[in-house]
Amino acid sequence: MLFIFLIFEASSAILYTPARVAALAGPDSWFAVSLGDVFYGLLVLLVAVALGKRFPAQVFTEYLPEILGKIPGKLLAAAYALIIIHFGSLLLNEGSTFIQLTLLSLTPPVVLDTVLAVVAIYGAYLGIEVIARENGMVFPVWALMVVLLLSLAAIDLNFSNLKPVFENGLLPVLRASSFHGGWRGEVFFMLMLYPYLNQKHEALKTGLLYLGSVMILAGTVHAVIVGVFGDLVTAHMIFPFERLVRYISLGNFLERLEIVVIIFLIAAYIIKLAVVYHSAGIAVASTLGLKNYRITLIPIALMAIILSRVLYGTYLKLSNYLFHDWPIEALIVELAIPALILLIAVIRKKGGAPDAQQ
Amino acid sequence: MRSNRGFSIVSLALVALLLLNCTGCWDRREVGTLDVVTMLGFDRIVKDGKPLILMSILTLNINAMGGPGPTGSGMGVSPTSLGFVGSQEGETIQDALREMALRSPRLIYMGHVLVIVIGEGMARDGIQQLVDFCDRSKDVRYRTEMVTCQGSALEALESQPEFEALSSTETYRIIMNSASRVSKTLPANLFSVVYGLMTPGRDAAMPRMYLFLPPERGSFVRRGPAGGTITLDQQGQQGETGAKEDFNRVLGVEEARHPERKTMAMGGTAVFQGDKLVDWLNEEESMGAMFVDSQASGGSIPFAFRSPEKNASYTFQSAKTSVKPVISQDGIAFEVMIKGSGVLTEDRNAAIDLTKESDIKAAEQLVDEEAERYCQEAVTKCQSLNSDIFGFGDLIHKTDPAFWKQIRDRWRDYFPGVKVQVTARFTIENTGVTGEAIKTR
Repeated sequence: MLFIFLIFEASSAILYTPARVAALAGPDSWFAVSLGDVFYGLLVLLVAVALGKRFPAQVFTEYLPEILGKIPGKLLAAAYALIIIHFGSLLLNEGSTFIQLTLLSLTPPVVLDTVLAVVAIYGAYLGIEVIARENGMVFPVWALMVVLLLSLAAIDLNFSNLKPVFENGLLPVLRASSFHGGWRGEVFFMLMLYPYLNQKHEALKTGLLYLGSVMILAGTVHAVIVGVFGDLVTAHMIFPFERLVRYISLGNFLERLEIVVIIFLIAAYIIKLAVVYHSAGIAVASTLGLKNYRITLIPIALMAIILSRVLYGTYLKLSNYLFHDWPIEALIVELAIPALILLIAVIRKKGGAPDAQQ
Repeated sequence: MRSNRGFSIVSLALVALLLLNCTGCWDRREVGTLDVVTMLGFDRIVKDGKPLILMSILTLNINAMGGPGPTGSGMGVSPTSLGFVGSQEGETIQDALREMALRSPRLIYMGHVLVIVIGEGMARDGIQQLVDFCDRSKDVRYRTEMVTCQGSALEALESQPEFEALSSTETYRIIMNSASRVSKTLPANLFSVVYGLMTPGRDAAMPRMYLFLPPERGSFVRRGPAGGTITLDQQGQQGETGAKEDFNRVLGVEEARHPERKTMAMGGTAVFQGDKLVDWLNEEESMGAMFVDSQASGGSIPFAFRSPEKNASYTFQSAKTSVKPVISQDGIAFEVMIKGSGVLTEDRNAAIDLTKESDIKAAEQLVDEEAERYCQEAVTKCQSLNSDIFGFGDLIHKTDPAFWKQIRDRWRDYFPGVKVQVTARFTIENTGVTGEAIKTR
């Protein structure tokens, strides 16, 4: 479970955010993404776990009607289903854009989308356990790769690039944090995965461990990127992490390692996509009252591919959404609404009391 | 059963997809259809009153491959040139690049570019366009070395390498080794140039490349590449004017027009202000600039020990610099402290008594003075050019951000007036494998 979330962070957050974070927070990016938005992640996690404890056998979209009443509950559940599908298409687009820009510039993006989606859907079709096991295979290698690449890149680290500290006060750093919070808050998928945890009482512990490790990971990644390139140069790149790995050169023979990154980021993307599609399938199925979520997967995949092309056909559209709209949407979807639901549930005394569960 | 059937359908679909992959992807670029470029050159030219960009590439000469290579031919014997130089003009860089497709059926592949050469005219006009172009390309790497050629980049590409098969390899290796061996040309890769252009308190600098006719009469470079249009042998055999006269003609008047009979070398530094070349540093100033920027790690400093002329040399094997900005009422000052160690490698007529501690101390003092002079000269020159290639402004930004905010927009007004105090502390670790110098009696 922990590893699934780590891979979440690993794929898109490492890839797309550093440039923007560097633009906002400058040399303090590492702080913005580690200490700065851990509080936001903590809030999201607490809300998600509290809701999960109240309804340990159901996913978010299932107990919404119970809390809100049938019609508004169903409506919100449907909205969430759509949001998750949209999120899936966004991810798909992030993945294919990355491959297209760095590796296969002539391949039609829709093909890349399809290939990624098919693999991910297959994973989602087999169920959460298979995804978790695949993750169990990929994750150790992936983690080793990140540590190795970061230490190789750190050869060119210039600590003075991390200075000055808090040049413009804390405010820009917090802005960068809140921007990055959308990614950190992806821990809200806990809402959709809670019933599948086999050790539910450890959900909070796992989540905290995730936040802790991601704090270190993201902080290190950003520190190394800005430390090597400086914040101004980082800010004008699209994939600073990939650039960083391209820059690695150990004794003039250990070079051109970017393909390692590409392969493992694709692996991470596929796992993340599989989880998201799985959640989307369950959300749709529970909203429509279907018994088996699998039947929804293929329409979801098609929708995700089409949405990915229609909404984010160009990089500018993608970056506009990712950097301007998504942080706000994330705040509402990940934190505000679940917190409100929790409040209503507490007031209306719905769901099992947390104490009764333990 | 149902899920089994579903499983087989999905796996069949996946297998079919995998089969599709086997035929290659849309993006396939086979090695045989590529032009692997190892050196890029950019010039600005005017044709029919229209400003154009002349882009030159150095790639492998396909026809020479498999034929007699330069291996074993040794110096003085004309090898088959492995390199092929193509050039194409265009209104923009990409335009020139694509125009090349009208001449070459192969795709220009820039993933192996080692060196980017900028012609002097282009450099004086501004390099932002080409740096952005290379930065934007997914193939060109940040570790690609940048040089500015005194002359045109096309000629630089056409010049002959003396010690390697391709001039790109030769240039690249010279630059790679220079910081640890001579430290007389400030190396810059694409990343450091991008950094210099983008950072308010730092200007870009890169090695200066120049072309020259090898002074050695027997040099194969002087005779031009084998298969060239006017080789000496052909001219001699024609016997129209006689071999000797022809020899003189080729090497005298005509030589200027034959870049393929020249070779290239690095030396000195091209200094940019913003994205425009403003002037060159000579070799001593370049060493000074490398000291201040903490880039020098090996080289020799000749000095005069109780003598009107230089009679000893010191070879430093490591040098490290720390720069401290001092901001006071009197203005902005920088304290540059260079610490290094090395070997005393030359002692003419035993001027220095290498067994005496006091002489060694005095020698160290003289070395320090020389190094300080190089640095001061470099700083004075750059201040007169108003180009902060040392990143002094960037340093203020990092150490005193509040003060930097006040002066950031007027840094160019302040930079020529900053005081730079250079202190060098070199130590003589040993004197080679002998003690006292040979005393002729």
